[in-house]
Amino acid sequence: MKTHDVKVFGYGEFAREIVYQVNESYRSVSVYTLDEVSAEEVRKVGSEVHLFDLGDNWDEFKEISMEETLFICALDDDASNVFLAISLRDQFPDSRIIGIASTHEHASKLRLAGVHKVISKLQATADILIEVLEKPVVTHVVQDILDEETALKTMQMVIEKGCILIGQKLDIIAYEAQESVIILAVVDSKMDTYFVFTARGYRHQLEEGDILVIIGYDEELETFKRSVT
Amino acid sequence: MSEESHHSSSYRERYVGAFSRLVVWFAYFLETWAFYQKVKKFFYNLLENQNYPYKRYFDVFMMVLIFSSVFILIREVRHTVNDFWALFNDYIISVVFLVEYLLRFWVISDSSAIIIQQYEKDELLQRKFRLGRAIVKTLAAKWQFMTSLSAIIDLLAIMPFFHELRLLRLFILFRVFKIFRYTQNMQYFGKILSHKKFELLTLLTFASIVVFVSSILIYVMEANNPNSPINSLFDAFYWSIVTISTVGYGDVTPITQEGQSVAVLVIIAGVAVLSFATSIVVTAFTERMEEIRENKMLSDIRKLKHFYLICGYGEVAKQIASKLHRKGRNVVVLDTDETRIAAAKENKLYALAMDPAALSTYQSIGVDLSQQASAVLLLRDSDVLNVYTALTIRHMTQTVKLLSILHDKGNRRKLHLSGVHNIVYAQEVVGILSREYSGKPIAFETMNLLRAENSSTDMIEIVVDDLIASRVKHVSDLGTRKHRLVLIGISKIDEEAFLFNPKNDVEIHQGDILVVVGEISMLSEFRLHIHKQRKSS
Repeated sequence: MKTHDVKVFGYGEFAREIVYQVNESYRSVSVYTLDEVSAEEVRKVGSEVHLFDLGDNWDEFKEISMEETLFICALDDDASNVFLAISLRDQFPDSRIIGIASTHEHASKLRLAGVHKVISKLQATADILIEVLEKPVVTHVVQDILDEETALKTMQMVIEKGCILIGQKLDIIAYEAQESVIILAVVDSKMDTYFVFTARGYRHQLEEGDILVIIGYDEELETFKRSVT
Repeated sequence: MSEESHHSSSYRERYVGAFSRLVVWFAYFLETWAFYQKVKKFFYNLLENQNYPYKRYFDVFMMVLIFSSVFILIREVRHTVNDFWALFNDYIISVVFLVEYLLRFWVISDSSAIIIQQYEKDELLQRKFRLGRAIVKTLAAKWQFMTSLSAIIDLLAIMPFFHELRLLRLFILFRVFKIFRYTQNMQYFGKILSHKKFELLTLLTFASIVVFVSSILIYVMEANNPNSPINSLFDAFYWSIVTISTVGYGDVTPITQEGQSVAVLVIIAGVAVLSFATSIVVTAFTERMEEIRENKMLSDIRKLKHFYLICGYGEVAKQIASKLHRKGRNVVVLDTDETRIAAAKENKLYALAMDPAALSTYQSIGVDLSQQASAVLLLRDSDVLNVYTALTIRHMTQTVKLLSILHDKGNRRKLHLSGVHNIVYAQEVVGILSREYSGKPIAFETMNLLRAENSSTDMIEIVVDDLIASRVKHVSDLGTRKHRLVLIGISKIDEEAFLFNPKNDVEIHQGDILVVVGEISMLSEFRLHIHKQRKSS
């Protein structure tokens, strides 16, 4: 489920920043705008742009692989954004969608429309400000982890067939790996998350298909991955 | 003869001049004597400054003295009070009150400043220093204090000191009135009623006229009747007061038809007076209710040891304030918009409809941002307003932490220049979150889950204090694994760097900050453990 293509709907001030942030990370980033003025703006920054309307003609998307594509609904108008999300969910039930919400109400409507991940503008801003106030060092660490420029990263590693970790207890693996990386959690096939430090996480035995969430420096993460597969 | 008179006048002038110079010198001496000023300021704060933290203890102490005094008076009516309590009441309490009165007399005005002001004014106008005028001004300031109602009550409360005069013992009751001085609510009550002085005086005049006229009328109608209980002008006055107040004991009643007619009029007037009086008091309270609440809020804010100041109460501010409030933090909100402030008040926040960018706002609130504010959040509707507010805060203090939201990317540097430490650009935050989620959704959700508000897990910071530093020397001494915790890293104070996933032999020093993740219950236990554990060898 590796994302290669990102399709951003809208080109308001939030969508612009999303395009800027994801541009370098994916094979292709396309912007879909409702009007020619916004489309012209996108062309000026050199990104791929398409005009679209909120009708039911989605033929253009019929051929694309939903496994490799991520839709980001970032239209400025809340109602249009929800309508877009529900249209995408209706046409492409397997698609992965992120919705950008301006208010609580908008966020809950986007969830009802079938969006996988809702990012609330207000909530995200408020959370980051509170974390800066209450836990400045934690904020710094999390920002370092999220920042593409720094070497500290999070990695999600799928336990594939033949991996030497299968059948081992999470606690033991985490302790042994501690010299180089920090194994934080495991997500099982039912998408339940077990943190390594909780009672259930402590006893969890790794199976094929489990996903390990690991924090570490680029090089050490790669070394760890190579050593267990 | 004329030469003699000339000599004597010249001598007098010389003496007066020397005395004036001495007075001025002494005034300057007192004004520049730091110890004297410090002591005077201390007593002023203790007696007069409602915002002085120790004043409340002094007020409670004085109230205890007042109640003990009244209790002893009541006890004395039917019982014998032992010598100690009698002495305590007659001398000790009275002496305390006397000292308090004299201290108030001293601190209420600055006589040396008045003399210096007069001297400098005369010097400026190149005329002879008028000592007499300066003395009159200083005495006038003291006289103003002495003739104030509260000072008169204070003085009367000292009277029981002369306990040989039996009548003066009743002056103990004046001590009860002193309670007004020490309870702020009573002072509010007085202030509120003073705003309706005119209406109350009008009503009182009306009631007095009714009492006066009805007393005379009832006396004229009833006094000559041998069966009537109203035989004197005092009886008539007593009856009028009892009737107009709608109390009506019934011990004195008119028996003639004329007298009863007067009674009907007085009863009607009584009902009217009582209704008007009630309505005036209720209106006064209704009109001033907002002011009372605001004063109470200001007083509460001044007493806060730490608070977050939020400037602007828009949507982001609402979220932040509500989260901080839930965490038990004190939040003070300032916004010029009354509607927003009303919303903040509904959310049980300290909220004031004042301009966060005006210096006068902070002066009228009476807070010291450098001491009381943990941080100031600039969440106003534009970068222009946030920069302006940041500069206002910086004008007052350089130390307080400033955080701001950014509306236009191009203004980031301006906010930095105005002294803001942390700038959050919502669009950028959303962009980064979208990128992270699209690339590593599971890792992203795990990090979110870890730090979520209602989660049983958390990522916390533990500052290594002297106690921890004396007990824990290396990472291996922490025992994080034993507590089922994960040490993400250490922010090293000496290297000003973050050490991710430190090895067991890394040294821990005072001031370092440990970043630890785990279950909340285990984290609390760990905090206690590292403070209590035995010193490592």
